[in-house]
Amino acid sequence: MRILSKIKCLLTGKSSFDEIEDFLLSNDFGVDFTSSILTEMKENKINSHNLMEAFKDKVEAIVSAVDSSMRINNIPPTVYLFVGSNGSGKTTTIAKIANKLKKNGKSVLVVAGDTFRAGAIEQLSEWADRIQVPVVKQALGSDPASVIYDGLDSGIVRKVDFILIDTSGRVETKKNLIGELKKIYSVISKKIERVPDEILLVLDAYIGQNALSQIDIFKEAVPITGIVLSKFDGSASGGIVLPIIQQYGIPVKLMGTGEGIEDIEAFSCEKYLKKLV
Amino acid sequence: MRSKGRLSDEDIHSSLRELRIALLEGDVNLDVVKNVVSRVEEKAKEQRVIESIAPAEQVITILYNELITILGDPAPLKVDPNVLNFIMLVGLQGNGKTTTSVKLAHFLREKGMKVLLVPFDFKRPAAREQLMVLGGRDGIPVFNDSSENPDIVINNAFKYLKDGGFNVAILDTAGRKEIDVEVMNELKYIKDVLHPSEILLVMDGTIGQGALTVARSFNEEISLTGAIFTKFDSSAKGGSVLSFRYVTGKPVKFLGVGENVEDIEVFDPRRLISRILGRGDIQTLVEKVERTISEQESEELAKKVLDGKFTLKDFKEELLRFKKMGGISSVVSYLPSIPNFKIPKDFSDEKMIKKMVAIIDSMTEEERDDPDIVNGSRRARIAKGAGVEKHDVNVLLKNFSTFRKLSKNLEDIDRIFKFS
Ligand SMILES: Nc1nc2c(ncn2[C@@H]2O[C@H](COP(=O)(O)OP(=O)(O)OP(=O)(O)O)[C@@H](O)[C@H]2O)c(=O)[nH]1
Ligand SMILES: Nc1nc2c(ncn2[C@@H]2O[C@H](COP(=O)(O)OP(=O)(O)OP(=O)(O)O)[C@@H](O)[C@H]2O)c(=O)[nH]1
Ligand SMILES: [Mg+2]
Ligand SMILES: [Mg+2]
Repeated sequence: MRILSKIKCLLTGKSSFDEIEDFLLSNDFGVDFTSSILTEMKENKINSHNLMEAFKDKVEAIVSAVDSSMRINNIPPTVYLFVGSNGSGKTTTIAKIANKLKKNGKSVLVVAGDTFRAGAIEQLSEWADRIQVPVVKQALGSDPASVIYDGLDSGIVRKVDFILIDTSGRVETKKNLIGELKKIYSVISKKIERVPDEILLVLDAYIGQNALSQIDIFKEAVPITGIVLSKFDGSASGGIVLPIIQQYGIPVKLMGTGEGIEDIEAFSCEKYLKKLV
Repeated sequence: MRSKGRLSDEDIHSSLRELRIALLEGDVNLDVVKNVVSRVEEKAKEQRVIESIAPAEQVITILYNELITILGDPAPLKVDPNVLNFIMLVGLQGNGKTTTSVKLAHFLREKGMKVLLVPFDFKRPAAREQLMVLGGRDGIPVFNDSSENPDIVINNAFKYLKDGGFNVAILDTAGRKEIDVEVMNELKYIKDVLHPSEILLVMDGTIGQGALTVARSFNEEISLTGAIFTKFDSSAKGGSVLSFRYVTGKPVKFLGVGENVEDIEVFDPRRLISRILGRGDIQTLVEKVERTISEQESEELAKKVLDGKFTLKDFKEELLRFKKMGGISSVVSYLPSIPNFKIPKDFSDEKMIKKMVAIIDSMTEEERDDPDIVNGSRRARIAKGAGVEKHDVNVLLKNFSTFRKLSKNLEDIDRIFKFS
């Protein structure tokens, strides 16, 4: 489809504003962002042949305005908290990051903070076994804040370099679950006497406009420091993250590129654009 | 300036602009939006101005009907109680297959079916544990085979299902990407071996534009029988449902509205449309259009009652309407001259309405068309399927025939819903 429309552009010499509009809308960039980009291009009198180039420049400008590197605390342990909607990829992402850190000689501990979903504790434990990192867990149904407290305690005693904390998936409409997240955040902050080094919202690349409401609500509860764009190996590119970066200043830090343990990468604007256009 | 009695282009365009934005922001795929909008535009241009109705309202009515057409009629699950049925759930990773399989099992068990959950995800860590815990919590058996070889599991499960006298087996397959040819072929293989009566795509309701290609690919590969959309408890508008219907033409059967086993609803096209269009300025207009359309239907229904063409199916519709409206009968308000009519209290009793609907659902098509054929043994089967006493079936049938005679003797309505 995309190639066809490009060929059409070449033949007709008309890479029109309409086409770039369609391209943006059909990649989940959203109506507002799309129209603001188009307005800007028109104001800047961009030649219709250079629309795609202008778009790429724009994306690069947006992405480079924020810091996409992962924060590491000078005094270990560095603490990462993972939050997000159901099934977005939190648990798998934790396993992937733990594996990467371990392979780089770091000691890691993972915390099974999802005490709600059936099989969540077993899922994280199985990953932890496979990559040989310790996991702190309690029984299904126990208080997540309490497991997390235990996890931090244990990580500090063992002097690990990194503590990665899993949480249950939650949709943004569930007030009590969002409240639970606030409590988790305050328990962590009290225990480590600072805020977690990263609070990462894991977003499925297939997601549509709902991502904006998710960000709105989640960031009210906890200060999101970055996004992990999961399932980037699928057919969707997660267009919605661009308006998110622009509007909220929240960077995309990592991309999930498969179900395997190695399938995680630092977010790259180049790869993002390459997949998109 | 409404020249020649037609809607002006300007009126049409300004209404459509806003509708287009609503659809796009509601995650309806761009191709679908374009197609729908151009069809509405065509129809709107042909339409005569109705003086009493604002042009925007006329345009919305056309769009509303267009969307209703795309969304189609509700379709129940295809499950034949006399044979062993396979239901296969497929879809992208993390979209809700495992959770939904347990919800479906729960739903079918309530209908009197003996259901087995069959874990068929050999990839995701703890996939089977997840199903075991969820099934166990709800007392639904989960096939527990240590083998991870699909052929062996199928063979063993077959034997277990036959020996155990099960009606339905629900297969929870592994998540997969629609662009992954190899794993899509696995699905074809399972399909060819089992001949499932239902192959349902489970799709996350928060999915965006990509819904169209995902739906198309799965449908082309294994020919779906329908879909279930999850996470409708989020604030996502759910336009992906329209994209799915548009590209596959297959019915959407249920919506998932939470993580618990009972968080599943039968899909209702109208509610989806108001969810997508229920925004800003157009909201009130949409509501008005909805009211008009449902009034028209009520009139039709009332006519059926008067003509004696009122069937048990209509009866069920009407019961569901009572439930939604909290007890006010839309039919009754359209029947001629009802002096001092009082709305019976029982009409708003949700439990009772649910019971009656379950009884109607438990009947065969034939029985619904001609309730007179319901004899003793049929009655027993219906009661079992609906999870009620035989006596309840009698009461329902009596109620129905009274309701049919309603036009002549409306005061009777008070007696109608007296369930014991
Ligand atoms: N293709 C692909 N699949 C992924 C990726 N990340 C996760 N998944 C899959 O998505 C599914 C859900 O992943 P989980 O890690 O369990 O997601 P979660 O957010 O922890 O889910 P909940 O805890 O239930 O909210 C699993 O089948 C994962 O294998 C990715 O980057 N690419
Ligand atoms: N809020 C909400 N969460 C849901 C719904 N349906 C499923 N979930 C949650 O979504 C997450 C993923 O659900 P699963 O059933 O594990 O999804 P799956 O498709 O089997 O995932 P894979 O097997 O990894 O492909 C879990 O956290 C579920 O509890 C729903 O309707 N609403
Ligand atoms: Mg998880
Ligand atoms: Mg599953």
